[in-house]
Amino acid sequence: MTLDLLEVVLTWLVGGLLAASAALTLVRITIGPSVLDRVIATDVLVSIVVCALGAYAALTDAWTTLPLLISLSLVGFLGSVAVARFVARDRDAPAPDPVPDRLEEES
Amino acid sequence: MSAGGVGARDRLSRARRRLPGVSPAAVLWLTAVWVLLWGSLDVLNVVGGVLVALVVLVLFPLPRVDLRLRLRPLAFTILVVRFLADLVRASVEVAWLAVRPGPVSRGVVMDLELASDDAFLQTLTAEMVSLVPGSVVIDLEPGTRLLTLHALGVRTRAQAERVRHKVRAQEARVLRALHPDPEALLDPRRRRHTPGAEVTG
Amino acid sequence: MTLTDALDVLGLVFLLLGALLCLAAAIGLLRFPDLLTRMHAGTKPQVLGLLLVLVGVGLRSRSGLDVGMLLLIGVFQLLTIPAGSHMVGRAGFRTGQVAPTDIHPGRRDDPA
Repeated sequence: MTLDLLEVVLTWLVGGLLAASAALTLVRITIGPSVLDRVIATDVLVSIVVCALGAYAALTDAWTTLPLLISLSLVGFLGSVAVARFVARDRDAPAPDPVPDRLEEES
Repeated sequence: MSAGGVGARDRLSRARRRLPGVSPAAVLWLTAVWVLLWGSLDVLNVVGGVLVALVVLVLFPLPRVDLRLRLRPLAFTILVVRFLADLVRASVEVAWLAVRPGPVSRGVVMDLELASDDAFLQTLTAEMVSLVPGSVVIDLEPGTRLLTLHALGVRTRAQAERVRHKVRAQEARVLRALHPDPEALLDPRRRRHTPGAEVTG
Repeated sequence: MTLTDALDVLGLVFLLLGALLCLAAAIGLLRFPDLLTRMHAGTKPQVLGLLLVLVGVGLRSRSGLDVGMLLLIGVFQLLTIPAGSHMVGRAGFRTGQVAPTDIHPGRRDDPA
């Protein structure tokens, strides 16, 4: 009986945490500021969705969602790589010149 | 190999000459993925997996990767266990930096020269460096062996040196686990003079 | 409490830990000041959180092929997330989108 209660509580906790993470990530996707920030945030969102689908499978014994997870993780990766390539059109441009070293000496 | 092994190997090498992209390991790996995707192990899936793997490898031949690796089980175990421990530590550290109150931390961009010339080992090192505490890889130039990385929470020169030291240690673990002769690269007395190492600006 | 119950609860605990790390990654993504520091949040806690969730799912599933599939997902993610973040970081670095506060302590460390 208490075990069932524990399961219910933990299930809601997991769901709530993942929903909160997804909402925060959506905020970052919305405010940017650059395309690459949004790409990183989208990657994290894909991972959160993978986590959520996995948790859903585990909590409701819906094991048919597992192949979905594989395709999702792979497709998310391809998307972010494509956007990164698109942003870095000048891909053979040299790295920016080193700016003067401003590291503090250890005190 | 058994008595029929020589003939089988002969046939295999002839088959490989005809189909340069098809390596047995790749067929095995693709078949395993296929079976796992279908989610049940039976004859139809295995046969279908082998067929699909062959078709994929013939239609989309991969460039031959010349891997001269030697797996050392003990060093490899050290690499994996240490990597998992580092991954946990790094995650907790970054999570703490994210949620702790007060000012958020910044980092610096730095670069260093890797010891190995092998593109595969360089890639493996770079991927692992991205997941261990303190660093994310930005850029890797295989020719000049220059690894550019971003280190979080570094403020002083000594801390920067510590990050460099950690990355070198990570590479040393990778080399000890997989490189055929790690000491030639890691031991400063035996490090061969490589032309081309000097051309970076 | 039987063994299966224990495994189920342990699986839930792993799911919870993974979800906590996901939340930490999202908070880091929001709070960190520039692209490269956000990459730290996007790679490390995210990967570990995902792996923990997969372990949790595996503990509750306990069927060999499901575990194999979860292993496959984990390996794919371990390979793809650092590579993806590397591509993004490089694109940002080469197009000069890194914050000007970043410090560059020299191109080479030992000219020997």
